[in-house]
Amino acid sequence: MFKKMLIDILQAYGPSGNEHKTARILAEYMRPYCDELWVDVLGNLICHKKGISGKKIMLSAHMDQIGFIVVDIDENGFLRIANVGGILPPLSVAREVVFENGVRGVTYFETPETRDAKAVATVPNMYIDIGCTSREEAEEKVQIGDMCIFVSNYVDMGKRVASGAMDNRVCCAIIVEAMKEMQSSHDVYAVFTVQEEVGLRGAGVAAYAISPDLNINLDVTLTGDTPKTPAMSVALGKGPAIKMMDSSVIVPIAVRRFMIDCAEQADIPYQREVLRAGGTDTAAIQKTQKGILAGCISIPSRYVHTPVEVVDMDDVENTVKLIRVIVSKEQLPDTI
Amino acid sequence: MDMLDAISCLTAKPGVTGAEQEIGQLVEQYFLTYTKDVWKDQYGNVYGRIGEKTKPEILIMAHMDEIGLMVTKIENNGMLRMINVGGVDPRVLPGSEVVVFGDKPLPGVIGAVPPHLLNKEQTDIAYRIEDLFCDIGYDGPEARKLVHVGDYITFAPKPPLQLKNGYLSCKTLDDRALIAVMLECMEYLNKRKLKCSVVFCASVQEERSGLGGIIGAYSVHPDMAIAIDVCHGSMPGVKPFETAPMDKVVLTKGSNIHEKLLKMLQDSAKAQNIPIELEIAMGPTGTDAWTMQVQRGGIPCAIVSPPLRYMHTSVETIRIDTLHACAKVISGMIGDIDENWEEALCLDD
Repeated sequence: MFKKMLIDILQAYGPSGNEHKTARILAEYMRPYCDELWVDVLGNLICHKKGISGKKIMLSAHMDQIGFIVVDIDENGFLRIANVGGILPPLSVAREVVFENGVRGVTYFETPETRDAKAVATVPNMYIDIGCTSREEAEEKVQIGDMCIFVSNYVDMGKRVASGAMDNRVCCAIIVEAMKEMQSSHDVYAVFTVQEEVGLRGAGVAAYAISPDLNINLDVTLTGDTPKTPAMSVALGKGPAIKMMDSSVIVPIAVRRFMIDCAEQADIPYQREVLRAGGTDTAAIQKTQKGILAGCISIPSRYVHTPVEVVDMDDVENTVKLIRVIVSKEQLPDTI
Repeated sequence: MDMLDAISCLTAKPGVTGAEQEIGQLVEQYFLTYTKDVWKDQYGNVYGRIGEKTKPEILIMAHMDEIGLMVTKIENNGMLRMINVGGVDPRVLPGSEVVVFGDKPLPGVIGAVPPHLLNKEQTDIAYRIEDLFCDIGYDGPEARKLVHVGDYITFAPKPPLQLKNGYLSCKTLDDRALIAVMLECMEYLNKRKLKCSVVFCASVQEERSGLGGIIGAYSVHPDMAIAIDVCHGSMPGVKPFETAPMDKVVLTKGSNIHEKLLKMLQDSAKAQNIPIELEIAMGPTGTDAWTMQVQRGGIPCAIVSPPLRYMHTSVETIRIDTLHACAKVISGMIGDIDENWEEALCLDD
């Protein structure tokens, strides 16, 4: 049941700045569980469930995904591209991509030498082949400025699943699932944000409009459980990762403590996360207005920003539980 | 006020970015000795107002957070793996005494592989933070009882070392020395009749995101703001235009700086015969002025700095007379503000 919804959300088209299709799908899933929902001018989907305490909790997850944007079409119909968000070029060649209108293509890169095993792809030397033989033919299918995403194959390995859109649709699905049986005396705002991958652009705007007492953001994080990774204690399957710090943000100690207490009281396994490189919407939300208290729960994920991002379904389930516990608390942290 | 005494107390308190509670409490106590109007915000910025709330309001900001480290992993042998919080230079870490803020403060050392056990290639490679570890003496199970991923580590605090000629060497003079300068300003300004209101703010998280500057400037919404932070002092191995003489008060000029506010500071220095040096910064200044400038529809900002050598090491070195001079330049400028302040700030002439 959850997996069916997850697949649906994973397959939605939504590169940064072009998230309306994803928003539409999420809105359909959210509608039964909230009192009102709307899309703001930047494209953030905001879903409001009313409460009685007078306090506001904002749950957030970005719904945009990384991709490519067409910058030029050459005379032979090849598309030259720029990255939308943090593409890893060597891992992004020889991949299937799809445009919003359904046009399919494959990525490759310039290879002046035949079978040069040492050649490395960079964004400027990459291109997309959409099967056309001339600029004119290609322009009938794709325009400069169009964006494409990796075709998201869903790999079901049982307890663990892989997809190119796990960052961050898995967290969108988690919020939908958590809202289903949510008990809270507070006003809960579930926000699916835009443009996280291009500089945390949407979340601060939504937080400014909502002005919540507490924000809990959800995003994926890296793990230290694969061969030869830098020292990081997070592993797949050991529970939601409660963020201490990443390159963009430090979670206030009281908010960490609050999330950890929620997990411990409900016997939910959890891990403490310090991420060496990477940022998340929490940073933008903290900097809003006079400073909004914000924390982050991360889903441990391997191979982030590749077409095979792997997560563990136990972590997903435990995160849903943890969010339900968090929003059920009467007492929210009010200082660092 | 005894500047050396204040610096000794202020540098002794831990306050790595994101964990400024303890230093914040001390700053709050210091502020309360000069004004009753003291408050804190949600993220721990400490504010103190001198003068009745009126227009114009001037915000003076020095950050109280310090660079440090955070535990990322506890190895089975009890060694702690770390990541930097703020711009810690891994090259200066081996050989450091530290304090690990686990469930209780624990002494630790950051070790290094002895040169005897390294080959030529290894000795030539600079240390990376990922390769270093902190030794607290415990084995894995003992360490895990008291220390957790996310716990902070600081350089072990020591009293300032008094070098010759009024030079002072200590950890965290960036930017606690400037908190002491704020206290001296408060003392000066309490003796003057002011035609403005001055909010002093000891800010949080300058060393990383500038969060304290952003929310501080947003909540105070001042008519002008001055960040006071250290700049680089002259030393061997650096270019003259990257640094300033240790005995000069440095004022910044550049796109981050409001020209007229700079002029007001220059006038103050000139009137008091205090020699200044201009530092040119066309891009980000790496101070709270950078984030404050763009809040609330725009805030005129300036920067006053004392030069400091060996920034972000445990032997940051500064000259105490230069700190006094900074306090005089700032206080003089604020004391001279009168009803023509809007005209004085007007860029349109």
